[in-house]
Amino acid sequence: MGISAWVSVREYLIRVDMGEQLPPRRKPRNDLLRNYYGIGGKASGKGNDTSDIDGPNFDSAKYQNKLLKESKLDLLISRDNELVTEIRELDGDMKTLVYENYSKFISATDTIRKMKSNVEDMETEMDRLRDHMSKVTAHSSTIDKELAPRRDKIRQLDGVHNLLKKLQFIFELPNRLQQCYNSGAYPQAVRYWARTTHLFDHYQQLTVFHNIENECKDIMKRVRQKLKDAMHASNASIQIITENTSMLIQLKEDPTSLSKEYIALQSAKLEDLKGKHLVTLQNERHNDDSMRSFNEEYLADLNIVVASYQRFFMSDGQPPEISALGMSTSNTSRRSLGSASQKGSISNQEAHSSAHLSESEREEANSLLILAFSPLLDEYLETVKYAIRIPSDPLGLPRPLPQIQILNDAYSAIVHDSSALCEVLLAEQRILDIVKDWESELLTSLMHDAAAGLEERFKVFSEKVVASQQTSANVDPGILTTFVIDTEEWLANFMGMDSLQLLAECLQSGASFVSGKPRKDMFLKQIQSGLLKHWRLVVDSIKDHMTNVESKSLVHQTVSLVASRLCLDFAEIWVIKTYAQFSKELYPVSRRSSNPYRQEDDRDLIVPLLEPDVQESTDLYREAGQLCLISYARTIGYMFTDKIEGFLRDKQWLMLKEKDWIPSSVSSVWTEIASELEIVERMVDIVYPIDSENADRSAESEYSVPRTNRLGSQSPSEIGLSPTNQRLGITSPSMTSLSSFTSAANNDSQATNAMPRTYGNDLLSNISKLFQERIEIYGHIDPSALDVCGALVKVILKAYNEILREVTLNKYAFWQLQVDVEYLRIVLWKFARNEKLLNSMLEEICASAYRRCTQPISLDSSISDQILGAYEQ
Amino acid sequence: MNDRDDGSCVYGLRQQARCLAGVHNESDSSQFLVGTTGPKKDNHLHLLDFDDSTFTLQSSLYGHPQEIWDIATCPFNEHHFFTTYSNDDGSLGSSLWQKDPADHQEQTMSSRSDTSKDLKVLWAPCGEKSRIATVSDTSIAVYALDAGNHNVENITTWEIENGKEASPWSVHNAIWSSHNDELIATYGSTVAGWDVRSNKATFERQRAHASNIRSVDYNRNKPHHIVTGGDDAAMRIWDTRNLTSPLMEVVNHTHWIRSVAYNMVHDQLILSSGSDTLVNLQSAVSVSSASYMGKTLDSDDDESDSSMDEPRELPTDGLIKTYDQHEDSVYSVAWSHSDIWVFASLSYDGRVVVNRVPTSEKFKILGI
Repeated sequence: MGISAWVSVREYLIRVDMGEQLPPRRKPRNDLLRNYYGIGGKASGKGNDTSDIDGPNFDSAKYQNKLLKESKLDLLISRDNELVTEIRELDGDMKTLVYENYSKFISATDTIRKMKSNVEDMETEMDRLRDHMSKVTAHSSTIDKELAPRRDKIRQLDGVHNLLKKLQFIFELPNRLQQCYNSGAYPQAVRYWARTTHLFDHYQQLTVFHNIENECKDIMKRVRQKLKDAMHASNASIQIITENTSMLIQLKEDPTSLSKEYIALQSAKLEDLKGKHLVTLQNERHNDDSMRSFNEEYLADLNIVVASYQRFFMSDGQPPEISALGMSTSNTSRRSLGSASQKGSISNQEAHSSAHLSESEREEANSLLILAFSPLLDEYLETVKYAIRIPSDPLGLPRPLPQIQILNDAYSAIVHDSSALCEVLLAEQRILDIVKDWESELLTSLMHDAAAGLEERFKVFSEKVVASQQTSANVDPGILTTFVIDTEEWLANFMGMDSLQLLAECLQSGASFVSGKPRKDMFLKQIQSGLLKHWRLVVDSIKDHMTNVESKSLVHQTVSLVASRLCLDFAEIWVIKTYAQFSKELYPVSRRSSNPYRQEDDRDLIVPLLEPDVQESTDLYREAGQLCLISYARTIGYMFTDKIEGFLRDKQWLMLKEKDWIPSSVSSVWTEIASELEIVERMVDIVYPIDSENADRSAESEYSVPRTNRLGSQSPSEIGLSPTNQRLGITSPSMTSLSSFTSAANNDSQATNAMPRTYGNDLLSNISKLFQERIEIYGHIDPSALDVCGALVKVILKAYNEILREVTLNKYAFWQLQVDVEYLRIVLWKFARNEKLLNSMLEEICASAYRRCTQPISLDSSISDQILGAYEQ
Repeated sequence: MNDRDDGSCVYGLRQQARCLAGVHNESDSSQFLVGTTGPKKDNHLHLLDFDDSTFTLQSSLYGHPQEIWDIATCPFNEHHFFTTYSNDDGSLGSSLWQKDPADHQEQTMSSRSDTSKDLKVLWAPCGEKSRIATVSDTSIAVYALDAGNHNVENITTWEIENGKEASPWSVHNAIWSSHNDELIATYGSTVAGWDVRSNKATFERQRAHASNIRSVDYNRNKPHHIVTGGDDAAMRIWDTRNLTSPLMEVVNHTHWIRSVAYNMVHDQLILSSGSDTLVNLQSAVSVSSASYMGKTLDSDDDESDSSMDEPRELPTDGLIKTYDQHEDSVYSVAWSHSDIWVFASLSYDGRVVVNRVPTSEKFKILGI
């Protein structure tokens, strides 16, 4: 219960006591109190609740009525007690407050009393002070009056003195100029002359000055001549030319011709300088120092020349320095005189020499400038380009790349120290272009190295295959496996380690042209697209190689088989690994903290920016791999087809005529094909081993290899490549077996393989065909010996059937064919992925043969059994 | 057969058959000749007459005991045709036949001339005199027929030499192009041309396919353009003046392509059939004569009105339709000579299917 409540309660009690309304005068007092205690504003905002005993709108009568009406006696009594205690408390509080205020009041009265006594003294003091002050004022005004006339005189005298000084300067000017001329202090002379010329103009009407002026002009003419001579002197330095030009401008030489002269002289000088540097540069290639001095001297000079030219001939209108030339502001002119004694630095001279050219003249001067100096800049940039060109083997260069240093020097020299060149000749843009070109050149060179290296490897490999082919029909499996492992490792290291390292070094070299976000991003973007190009180049190089190798040869087959393995491995492993490495090295993004006990999956490392690239490259390789594998299987298939066709069209075989002829053996073509199929199986097995066989070994080798330095390195001595997914623990979708055809589910009519059967039952075979699923002969091939051979079996049988339909068989040929078919059934069984399919295809061959036979008589099964018995071992 | 638009008409021969040829007849109906192959001397020649209005096939049967490997219909006389058949001794021969023009039903045929060892016979599609070419394993001989079609006179012979084909080879197929009077033959994986007038080889492309090329046809509207189909399941369109790479490669078969055929008028339509039992109708507008015309399409159709305001669908490259009505290898496919939108295909099991180009594609080509 606060004060206001207390007041309200007080009032209420009073009213209860007196039984009448509050006297009106109390209201302002209450307001004062409220104000004093800072509760007035607050209380008014508290709402209009009349029953709130602490509220400002507390209506005691209502409250009382309410209490009386609503509460019981005991409650009323307790309420009364409460109120009584509260009132007592508040009474106490008020007393304390009154005492406190009282003591404050007493101390205030004391203070006021003291102040009163002090003020009485002060008033007399003030009066005295006022008197003194008026006296001082009177005195000072009298002094001032008396001094006034003299002051005017002094001022006049001072003016005369100044004028005389100037006149003296003018009268002495010819002498001074002569002196300067004699001593060779031309800049001084020019400066004097520049200061005085407008005076002569001003005092033209005074004849006195004419002589002086003429005399001076005469001297200045000689000075001018001297200056020109000096400029044209063969040993004049760039600085001298610049200074002299500056002076000539001050001497109001014709700016247009002067600018041309300036350009001619300076460019000749710069040519000389450049020539000198180029000689040294060519003598000592890639010498940092010579390049740097070239930057420092040639580029800096070029910049100064251009900057001076810009100041001389291209500044717009009235630079503030012009006023400094005038005599009127002696202050600045004195400063310039003072500084003239120091052999003027260029910047100082530049500060006050510029020709006043009109807009069109300036434009002309600008175009002249660009015309004259942009070739010089071009040549400089060319030199830089030449110095930073990438040799054919970028990895063999010393590290860090000397080119980075050169490029960096050139870049910072242009961007930071050659503002004039940047402004006039867009040098910054051009050096940026050069940087961009260089970066892409570096990448291209790397990529081409990779492709060339791969091609070289393929070439060597092909030769090896040819060589080993000469000694035996079989290709040594060691050659295949070592080639695959070596090449993969080499290529992955080339990209993932060596090239990456080089690029990372470039990026982290701190060179100014790769620092800063936009430039860094530019480089990264180049790297990204370069990498993508690289994958394509590698694939193209593989494909190129395949087309180059004579087709249908064993080499071609081997190469395409191995190439398919390479491509598939890249799709599954190396692309991802390489991108992971790149992500790690080049994109320092905060990664998810990985569990140290879990091997980090490479895919997790790849930054999202590169994800689409990874996908694209992976698809590219997977496709290429499948293409190579199909090409491998197809080529072999074509060879088999040719063999079968040659055999079936052979007239002798078809014209068998001896009376008692019976087949004695299987046709040689089929035994050949069977043995070749086995070779194929072995080859594919070497390149694509079956998981279960090598699973343990590869798992072992994977754990024993430290993952630190080389990318997934593996001992090349291991015979037989371990399956991809095992080696890297990556589950590959292509490895899951994807049968290209489903089993002929409803083909039940031809399940048995009893040889003598009723052929030509067209209706039956046609009906069964209806239910049989279409057989895809050329389809997708999985990278496994089983699938490749399965596909080849289909090709062989289909070709057999097709060609058989084009020949006519006699009885004997039909017999022979029966033996052959039985042989094929035995031999091909282990290659066929689908026994039902094999049987149905063989049935079809038999049916075709039956139809093509003039006398279709079945062979006694004992004969064929006898023949085949020999082969079954 | 009820669906008149895109339906097909099927006819069974009850015998194995390999060859099918369109007859150059003058009536409205499309006629095809089909010859059966059975080694048992019970072969027939079927003349199929496809009536577009009733959508039915009428057949006339002619006896032809020897098995028929190829039929060549005369481009100038609908009653003349050659059959190539095997003789008793296994050798191959050809005969010129004449259907009796007076009575359609009468099965009179007469053998007029006889040569031997032929794979097939080609009619010269142009020239004043009737000329034929007989194709054998290693050569193509050109003959002139006399007025009565009784005797032939050898004009010239193209001895095909090929030392470069590694594997044993023989001529698989040949065609007589009406442009430049040129013979085009395929052997092994090589396609080559030979000018009949100058007796000189015109072009040769080795390894035009990865394996054997069993089919070839030439574009009637665009000289130098040929199409080949090979064992690699690929169909390739070539310009014989620049053979470094094919103009177009289409792979939509899954086994050997046995027959390819350009449409006579709308050469963007190419049929191909193969031992994967499929017949594919391919559109190759970009390399056809229609590609010259830009937006204004075929003007030889009177119905195509001049209002070009309405945007309409232009024909594009790609597979138009795959016909899978066959259950055995489709060895032959041929366009009708009287209705440019009709074609027939023949599978080994003796099933002839007559189809029409889908109406939507037809409208696209006509620009309706």
